[in-house]
Amino acid sequence: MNKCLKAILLLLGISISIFIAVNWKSLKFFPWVLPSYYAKEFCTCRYVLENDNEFCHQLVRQYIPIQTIIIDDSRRHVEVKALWHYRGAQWISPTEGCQLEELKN
Amino acid sequence: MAFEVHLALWLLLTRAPTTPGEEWDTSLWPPSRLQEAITEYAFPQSASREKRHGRRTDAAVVVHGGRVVYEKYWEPYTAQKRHHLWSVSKSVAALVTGCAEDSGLIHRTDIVDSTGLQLQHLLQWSSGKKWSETYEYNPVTSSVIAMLYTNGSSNMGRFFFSLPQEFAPGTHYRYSSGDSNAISYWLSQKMPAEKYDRYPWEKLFAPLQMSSVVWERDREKTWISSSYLYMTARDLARIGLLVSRNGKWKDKQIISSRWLDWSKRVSPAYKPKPLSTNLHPTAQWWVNFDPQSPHIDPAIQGAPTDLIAAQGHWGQSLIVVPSRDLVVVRFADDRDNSFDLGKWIRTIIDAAEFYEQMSQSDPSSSRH
Repeated sequence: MNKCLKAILLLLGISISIFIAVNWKSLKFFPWVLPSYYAKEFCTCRYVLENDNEFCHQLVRQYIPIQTIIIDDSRRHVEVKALWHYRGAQWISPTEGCQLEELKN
Repeated sequence: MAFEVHLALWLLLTRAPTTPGEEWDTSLWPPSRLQEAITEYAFPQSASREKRHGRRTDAAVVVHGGRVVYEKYWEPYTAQKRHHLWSVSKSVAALVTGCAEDSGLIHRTDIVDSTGLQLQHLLQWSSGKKWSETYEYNPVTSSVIAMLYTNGSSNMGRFFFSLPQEFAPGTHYRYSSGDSNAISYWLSQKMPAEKYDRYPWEKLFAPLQMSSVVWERDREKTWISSSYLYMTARDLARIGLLVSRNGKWKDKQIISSRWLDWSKRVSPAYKPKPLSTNLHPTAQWWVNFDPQSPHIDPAIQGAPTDLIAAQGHWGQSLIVVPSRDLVVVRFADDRDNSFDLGKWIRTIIDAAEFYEQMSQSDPSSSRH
């Protein structure tokens, strides 16, 4: 590798490290964004908006696919695993709709 | 049936402006080129559920003089189904806040934390808190995504109030879902839990006979005003009609004209961007023009100057033109920027003007 390329890679590495350090508070939660978004919005789509599973997957899907989803119609609960992290959403009542459960490590 | 027969029937049915009871009066505009233009724009033939391109309207409802004059849905949506409002929720929530001020429970000058931040700064999106309002295309450092989905999701009020102050309160306009949720958090601190829980229904949804409303909460039971109201298009149209009628519903003043007038004042810290056609922000609403800030040009040329709207992610909108007693609801799933609000407004107003003229020129009509 020539000196120029090494310098660019080093600079890139330092920039990324600084970005991560400065934004660590938000970045450490990043893996939960997808399972949380999917669980909450799927729950709402299904139990508040009363659509079928196929429609809800189509509405909620993102670029990164989820790993698993457990849809429990009997207790109106959805749990999603994505980016190796889990999140659940629970339907509460006819006027309160769905709510995310506590974030678990 | 011939257009003339349709028109005659429609004219017979059209009377003085009305307000809906349990159900809306329906008096659909007879088909015409202008009415079809609304359908062509909102519901293009090419729209697909699988492909996320172009205008993808789920519901379009137009109310004129208190009657439904245009209504169309895209399967599986129907008149009975609820839809996301996304940020249209902010504007509806602000009406509830207005009711609370009218009742003396809170006041817009309330100081909500130790920095001198006032409720009106939150309402006018100028809290000055450090905030990033980006969505699915830029999720990594987004504050709104953290608030709704990760470290803020259990207690959105606490998440907001723990943020650092970037600008002095009231000095810098920045659209923020955090500011909007902080308002409902503040309200939750101002009344007992059982009263707070029922309050929006007692003050707004029940008097307007809106039966489909769902309002999601965080784990503190705070209403998520920024994003999570759900209702049918017809129910949202009732909110629009209330605004069109200056807060009056049948013979009752649901919300004061004082609050509604203030809702039309452009946020003091806001500076319009040159060449932008975005509506101007007020206290949780958006306007085309504010006569009290005449130096700010109308946002959309050719659109009525008294236009006031609520707007949400992926194309949700509630447009109100009080001078025409016109209300337009659109629910959608737009995933790109194909939809042009200015064109939408002009298409509908062209049709409304046409049918207004038809109505006024007909001697059998008792209007005007």
